[in-house]
Amino acid sequence: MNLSEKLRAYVSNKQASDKRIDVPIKTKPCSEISALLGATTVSTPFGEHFVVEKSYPGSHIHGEIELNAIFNISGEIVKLIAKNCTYKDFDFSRAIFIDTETTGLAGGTGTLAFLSGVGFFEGSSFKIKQYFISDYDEEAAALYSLSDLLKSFDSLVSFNGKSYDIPLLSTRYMLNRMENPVEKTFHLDLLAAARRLYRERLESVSLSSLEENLLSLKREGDIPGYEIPSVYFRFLRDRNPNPLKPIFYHNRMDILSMVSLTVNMAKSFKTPFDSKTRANQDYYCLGRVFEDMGMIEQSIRCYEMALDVPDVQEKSYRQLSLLYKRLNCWEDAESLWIKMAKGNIDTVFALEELAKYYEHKLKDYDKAALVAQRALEIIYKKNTFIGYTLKDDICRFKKRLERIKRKREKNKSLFEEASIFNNT
Amino acid sequence: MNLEQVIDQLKTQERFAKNITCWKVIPEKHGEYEDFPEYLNPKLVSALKKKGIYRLYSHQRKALDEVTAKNNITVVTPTASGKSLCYNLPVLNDLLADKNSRAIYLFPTKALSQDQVSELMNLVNVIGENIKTFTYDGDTPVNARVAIRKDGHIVVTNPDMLHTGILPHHTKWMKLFSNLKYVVIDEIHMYRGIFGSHTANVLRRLKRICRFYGSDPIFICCSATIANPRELSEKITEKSMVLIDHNGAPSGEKNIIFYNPPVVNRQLGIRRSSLLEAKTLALAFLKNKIQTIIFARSRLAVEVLLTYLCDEMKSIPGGMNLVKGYRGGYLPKERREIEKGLRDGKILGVVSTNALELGVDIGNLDASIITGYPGSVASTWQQTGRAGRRNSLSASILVASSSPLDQFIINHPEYFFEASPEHGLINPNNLYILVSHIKCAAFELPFADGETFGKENIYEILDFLEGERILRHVGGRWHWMAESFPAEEVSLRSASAENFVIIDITKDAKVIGEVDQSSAPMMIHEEAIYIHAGQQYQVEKLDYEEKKAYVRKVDADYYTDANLAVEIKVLDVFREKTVDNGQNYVGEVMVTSLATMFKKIKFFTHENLGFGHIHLPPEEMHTTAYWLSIPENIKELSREEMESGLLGLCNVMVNIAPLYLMCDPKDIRGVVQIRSPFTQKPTIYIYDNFPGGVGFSEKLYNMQDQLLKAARQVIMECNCEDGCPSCVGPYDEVGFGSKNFALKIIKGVLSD
Repeated sequence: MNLSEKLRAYVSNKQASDKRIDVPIKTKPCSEISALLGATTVSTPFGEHFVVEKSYPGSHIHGEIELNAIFNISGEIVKLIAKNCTYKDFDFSRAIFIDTETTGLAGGTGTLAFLSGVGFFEGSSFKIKQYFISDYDEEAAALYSLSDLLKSFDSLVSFNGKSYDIPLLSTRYMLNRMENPVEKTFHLDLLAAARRLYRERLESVSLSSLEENLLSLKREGDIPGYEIPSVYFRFLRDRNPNPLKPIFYHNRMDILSMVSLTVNMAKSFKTPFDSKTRANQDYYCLGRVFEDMGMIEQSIRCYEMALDVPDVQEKSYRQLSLLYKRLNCWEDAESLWIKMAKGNIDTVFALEELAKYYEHKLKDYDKAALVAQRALEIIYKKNTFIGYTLKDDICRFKKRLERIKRKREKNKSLFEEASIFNNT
Repeated sequence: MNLEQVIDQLKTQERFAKNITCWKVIPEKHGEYEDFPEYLNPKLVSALKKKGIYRLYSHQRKALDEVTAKNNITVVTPTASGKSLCYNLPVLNDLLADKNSRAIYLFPTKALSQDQVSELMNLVNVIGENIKTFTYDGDTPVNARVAIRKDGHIVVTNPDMLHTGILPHHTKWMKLFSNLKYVVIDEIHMYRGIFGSHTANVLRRLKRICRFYGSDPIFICCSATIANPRELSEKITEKSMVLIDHNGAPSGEKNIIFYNPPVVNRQLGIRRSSLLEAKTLALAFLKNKIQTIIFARSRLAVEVLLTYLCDEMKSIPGGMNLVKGYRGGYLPKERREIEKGLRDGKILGVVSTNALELGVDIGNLDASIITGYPGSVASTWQQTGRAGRRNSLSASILVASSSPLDQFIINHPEYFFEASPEHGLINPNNLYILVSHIKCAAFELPFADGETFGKENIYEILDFLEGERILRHVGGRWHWMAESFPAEEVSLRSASAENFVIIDITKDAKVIGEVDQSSAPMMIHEEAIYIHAGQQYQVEKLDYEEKKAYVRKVDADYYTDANLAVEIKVLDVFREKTVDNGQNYVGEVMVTSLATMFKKIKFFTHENLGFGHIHLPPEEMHTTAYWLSIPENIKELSREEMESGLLGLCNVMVNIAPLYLMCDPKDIRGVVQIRSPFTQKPTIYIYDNFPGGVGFSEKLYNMQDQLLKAARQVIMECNCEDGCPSCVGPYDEVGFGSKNFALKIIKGVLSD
């Protein structure tokens, strides 16, 4: 048996030969591919590749938002979107929106981006360039063009690019032994921002869910992301570019949606209390961002609004009371905790905070003992009710209660001693 | 009594002495030392001195010199000879001079790496330099991984992690691969068979990636005693090696005693249980406060022995807690405590599987008792090596079971002491294994036209994979063209099939054991009586798809015996030659096994109580085989007698072949054909029980008539009347007279 026969036997053993339905290979000339895709051929020192260019006027409306509106976003707002002060000089006219389509989600070195789409503002229009490789050997050329373009920009905008597109492209540049142009200092990853802002109201913060819920956008003629690799592999074999068209469309829509999504988020930050784009649950999320960015007043206002929103009520009470505590606004904090305890909102947490406050701050051990005792009772009740043991909680409160009582006794005796001295 | 007196007692007491087949005294050996070389970094020298090391053993110095001269080395070291310094010294010496250097340490299992890492860390701490050693395996937290990739000077891992976690993500490890100076492979003798064949391919991938980043690491391998340490490491690493096998470490006098339990039933060839004998012997040591390790072959045997020993130790105050068990399945924390207890002497005795055979640091004990031949000369030396301090007396006792292998060894101590230990065999070019790693390699970096993999030209395989649409050939390169992550589909520890699990549903369902794919049709077909730990179970349902057998406890007066129709078809002959009157072949075969029916056989009387049919699909396997055809015209043998003799001879050959192959007994199988369609003669086949084969057949082919001669010796020396499990097999399986017929066949083949 020669090696080929053995290999065939090897396959038949594994019953894996089902894939061998032979598709007639129609090799289309390049000109036909480019005509069908509306692509032009680009020559580089590393060979040729395709590019599809589209230009949209700045006034183009995508998902109820005009693209140009992005220039109304001030540096202060970008800071909030990025949750990072260094983004205050972020300039959208020098930023590139990037999204890649790849041969798989497995990660590792065996996956490549066959289509890299980038969008940027040029004069009064928004341009999208899609670098496409019609086969593996064109990769270096496409990477070269992308690198060449990126030189003129100093920042990136992506959706999940920090953990997906950019590391993948970095790997590709390294494998092709080319300098890596994609590690820019400023990279605004909208997925992280969207997660911060919308996680309370949306179950999914995928781009399509955001489009649907925030931008009232429904795509037509789109392709689900998971089908993309197999469509490309099929193209490699049969060279029929028609099934690729929805991928190009998908990629363009992703890029346009990034622009609209940015504008949408900016509105929420700019006018948090008066915005169509905001839902009530967002108040909590906004409060968190404002708090983290040290904008305490806005943060408190947002939390206060959120106190009445059922979905986020508990969290907001908690967060606001802790914020007051950190700011040493003890009375405000105390009144929130009392409200919580009365309104049955995360009661155990509230009672524990009260106990701490009375014990350590006010040194009012009677009050402290009272609230700790109550917390313990509630936990015991819960215990019998739910059936599982909250051992740690019980243990913690018992310890606290004992300590408070000890302090109370000591205090009493000190007091008594003092009164004895006074008497004498 | 002290150890000397206990040993004396064994020698003189009739009860023991009559069962001893061999008593070997290995005299005390003095250490051979060398000074630290001048080029050794002073920081390293002073750290060693702080740890009480003022000179090196000669083999440590040689290792240091050779690696510093940029040679790849293989160090063969017995237990407790300071082997880790053989690699730690050159690596640390380089790292002290160049902080950019990087090293990978590979250990066959996670557990084995732990001691080495803590020893290394300890040395690094004493040096006081910022040399970072990290373990990178499945347990490494995700947030620690980034730091390890960037800053780890020494990355400690295992081949499996290298295969799925590191190589496919090599761009994240650029710093490591660009600066990789050393690859340390410890316990390289464990990389045999399938696992070794896979690992050799993982290393081919590693070297390919190193070439991409411009590095060319030196390989430092450590091996226990095997026949071919250099050949094995050269095959695994594909680098030429300098062999360092002269051990300079001192050792005290060693007594090695072979002990064969007395025969209790001559007709059936049954001996007293090796477990019970081991217990008695162990107590002789333990009751005299002599630190002892007792090895047993299975986890169950460990538990049984432990129960016996604890029970007997009760009579000594505090004795119950002096003896511990140690095996896979114990929690890491428990294990660490036992290891520590052994080192500081708080634990007097430990009963262990081969888990304590190597690597793990438990210090050195006074005595070891090996219950049942561990399956290879090398393993036996490792286990005896657990007893023996640098400068005092020690004793090791091998207690034989009644298996043919044990009986052969116990009656031929000269084989053990004089003949070379086993060969570590691998076949990196096993097609199944090779193809799966070529996929992984193509995923990591596209293959260029004309590129080889290891030394193999792989054009045909690449072309085949392109046909399967896994690769794409364009622009002179072969690119990965699939969505999957190939490394995840390849397990380094097996060639393919998974095991069947056995679930006891008598009370709450629980898993009680496993059976490998090829034995499943025989052992766990529906209605089979499956015997596990002395308890009978009946198989109620066999879920073939899910690989699960559901069994229930029963108390039956019969056992079941399935008929397996094994057909073997020769596909290709690699080589053939005539040895005496027989014709030897090695080649490729297709083995088809089909379990057809089973018999119910009554215990003791062996009456046939009935039969049933088995409905299971045939198992097909494409593998390599060795076969021997026998002259048809052997005098005085009828067809039936020939068949019985062939069966018996085949059993003996398959049973003792693992001695020479250093393999697990279930790694090979035998089949006989009274008239082979291929050779047209009576033929015995022995095949590799793995798809594709790992080289056992090749080795058997090269053994000439050695295996037949050994088989003859076993049969002639067995005391049974007419076949027993220790030689040709029980007569109700192979037929009456098999012993005699097998000898006639051998006589017909051999000319001496």
